[in-house]
Amino acid sequence: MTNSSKVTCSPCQKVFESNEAYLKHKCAKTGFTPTQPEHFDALSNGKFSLQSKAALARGEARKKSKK
Amino acid sequence: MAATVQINEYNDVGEVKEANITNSNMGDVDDPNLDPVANPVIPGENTYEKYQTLEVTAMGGSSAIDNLKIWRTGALGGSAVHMTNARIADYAEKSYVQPIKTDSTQADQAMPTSEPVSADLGIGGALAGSLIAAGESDLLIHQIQTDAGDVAGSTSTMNFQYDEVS
Repeated sequence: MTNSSKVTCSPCQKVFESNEAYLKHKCAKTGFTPTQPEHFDALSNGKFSLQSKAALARGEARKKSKK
Repeated sequence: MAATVQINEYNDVGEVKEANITNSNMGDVDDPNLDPVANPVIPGENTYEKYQTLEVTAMGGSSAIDNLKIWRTGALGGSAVHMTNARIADYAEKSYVQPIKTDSTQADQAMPTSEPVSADLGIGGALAGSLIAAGESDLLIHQIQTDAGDVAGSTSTMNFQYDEVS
C-alpha cells in the first residue's frame, strides 16, 4: 500500500498533486497519456508492445492449463 | 489493446512518487534515476534502499494482471550482495519507510538471479493476488550491500515480469 504525496512523471518531469491528474496528462516527451500504449512504445522504441504480447501469451497459456 | 504497465519509485520522507522510472540505478543518494558515478557507494557500505512498484495505468480491455516475478540478471561487482523483500514463500506485504543506507531490515532475502518458479512479489498482500483494475503491486524493496574489498560498480538488469489475461 502506498501513500504518495506527489507524483512526478519521470519522462517529462511534470509534478502532479494526485495520481489521477498524472494519469490524465499528455506527456510532453511522448505526446500521449500514461494510459495509452503509444506512450510506452515511444519511450521504449516499440519494445513495450512486444513485452505486452509476451505477457498476454503467458497469461493465456496459464489460463488454458488450469482448464 | 493491451494493459499499460509502468514501474514507479518512491523516495524521501514524503513518499514522493516518480512514475515510470527510466532506470533503477543504485547509489549513495535516495533519488530516482540517480547518477551512480556522481553518487558512488563507499566500499563496505550500502546503496540506499529502493522502494518500487509495478503499476497498471489502464487495463486496456484485459481482465487481470498477475503472477509478478522479479529478478536480476548479471553479476554484481566484487562480493556485493543484492537483498530484497521479494520471495516465493512466507511472503508478507511491506509498508513504506523512508529509504535508508544502513542494512535493510525490510529487504532480507537474496535477490533471485534467474526467473523464479512462481510469483515473488504480491498484489494486495498476496502472491496469488491480481490487479483487475488500474492500480499498483505491493512495494518491491531492494538494496545492494557492498564489501570493503569491492572497488568497482557493476551493471546488471532488473527484470519485472507479469502475466496478462484477456
